[in-house]
Amino acid sequence: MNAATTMTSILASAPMTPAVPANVQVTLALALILFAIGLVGFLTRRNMILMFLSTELMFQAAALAFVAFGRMWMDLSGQLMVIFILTVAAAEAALALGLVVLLYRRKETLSNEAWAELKE
Amino acid sequence: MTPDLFFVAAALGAVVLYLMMEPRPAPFRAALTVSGLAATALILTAVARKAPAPDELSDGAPFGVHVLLALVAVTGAARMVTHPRPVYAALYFILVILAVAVNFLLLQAEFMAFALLIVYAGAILITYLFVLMLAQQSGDRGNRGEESAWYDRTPREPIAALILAFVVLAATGDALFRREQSVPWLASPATTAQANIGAWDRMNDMPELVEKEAKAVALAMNLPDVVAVERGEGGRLVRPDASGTSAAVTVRRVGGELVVVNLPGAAAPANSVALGHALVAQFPVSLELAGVILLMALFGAVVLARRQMQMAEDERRAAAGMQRLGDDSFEHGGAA
Repeated sequence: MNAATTMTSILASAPMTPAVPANVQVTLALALILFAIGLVGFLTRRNMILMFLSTELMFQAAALAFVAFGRMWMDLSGQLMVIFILTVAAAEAALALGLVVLLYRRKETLSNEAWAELKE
Repeated sequence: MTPDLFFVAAALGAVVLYLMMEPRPAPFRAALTVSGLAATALILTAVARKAPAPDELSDGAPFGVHVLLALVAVTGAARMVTHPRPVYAALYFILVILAVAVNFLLLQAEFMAFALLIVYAGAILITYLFVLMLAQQSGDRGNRGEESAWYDRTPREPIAALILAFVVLAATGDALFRREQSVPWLASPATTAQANIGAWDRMNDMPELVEKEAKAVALAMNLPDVVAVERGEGGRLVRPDASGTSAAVTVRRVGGELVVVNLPGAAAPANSVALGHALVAQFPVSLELAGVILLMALFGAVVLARRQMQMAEDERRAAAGMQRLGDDSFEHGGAA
């Protein structure tokens, strides 16, 4: 297979070839690892902005899993869910960061422990 | 490969991530990077090739490229959650986004790849960087002249967090990869044919595209005088064959003669066309819902911004010895 046909087969939509199982498996494993790292980041980081950034990493992992499963089943609904994830992530970034700036103005620190009294 | 390799490699990764959380001298950092990459590669080799695939099967995305992208993404993610300086963490997240976007390309999701780059790397991450820089100006520097604030250098409960993440990774990996045939990894010919026929069926809603492609095919068949596309049996413009590799279209020539041409697979709608069609024709409610979410976020952002402006105004008034804005203080303050 030469380079030109390789490019066509990456980008063509029909006739679609089934996904190579090993490729899908590696992508799903990557999604799992990214989700676990994002979870670690959310739990260990004390900076509120970076905690939100870690949730974005978990969003990425979910999006990757959606697209990989969609490729495996040759179904577009996985990619449509990713559009939804992008929307939610954008909305979350706008609102959460606005709140973080408000909190920062109150206490002049980004540490989440400055707001420990909220949990009571 | 023994199935337990997955767990061993995941545990090794957890240990490496733990050691990365404190600042280390350069040679130790290099050793950590190497062992972290090795752990990731071990996980990938432990899960890959679980299902036998026919040798000639190729979807144009080489296995090595997938592994390389995975290593880049995991490196970026690990640095992101451990870097002591927040701005660098955000920049490492952009690296993760780039790797994931290329991965989307290899998974035949071109539209999502570029949407991810534009929305995430272009908009969301810039917002994060703005807020990080806005909130970094004062107060947070350690009194011993450190580069970053104490709360960016000291992780909270790293061991408990890593154990939890390891359990999550091990449980999901076990469910997905270790059980024999838990997932039918290779799509059956029936699924493939159904997906291809579905792709052709979308084309029935796009008569202009059908006409353009049919005219191109007719021209290649030495029929330059095609004037229109006719509906065939069942009233459908495009009639895919049983395997979905090509589709028949009836065209009318100048004299009124009807000819059937076969569209090749490359004439089917590309990913972005099919995605747009599916979004509007198949899932209109989710499109509306996304619009509502964005509208609510817009309202929320406006409310928050107004409150910020009022707080700033309050601070200035307090500095000038004037009464604060807001109903409560205005009434009582005015009475006193």
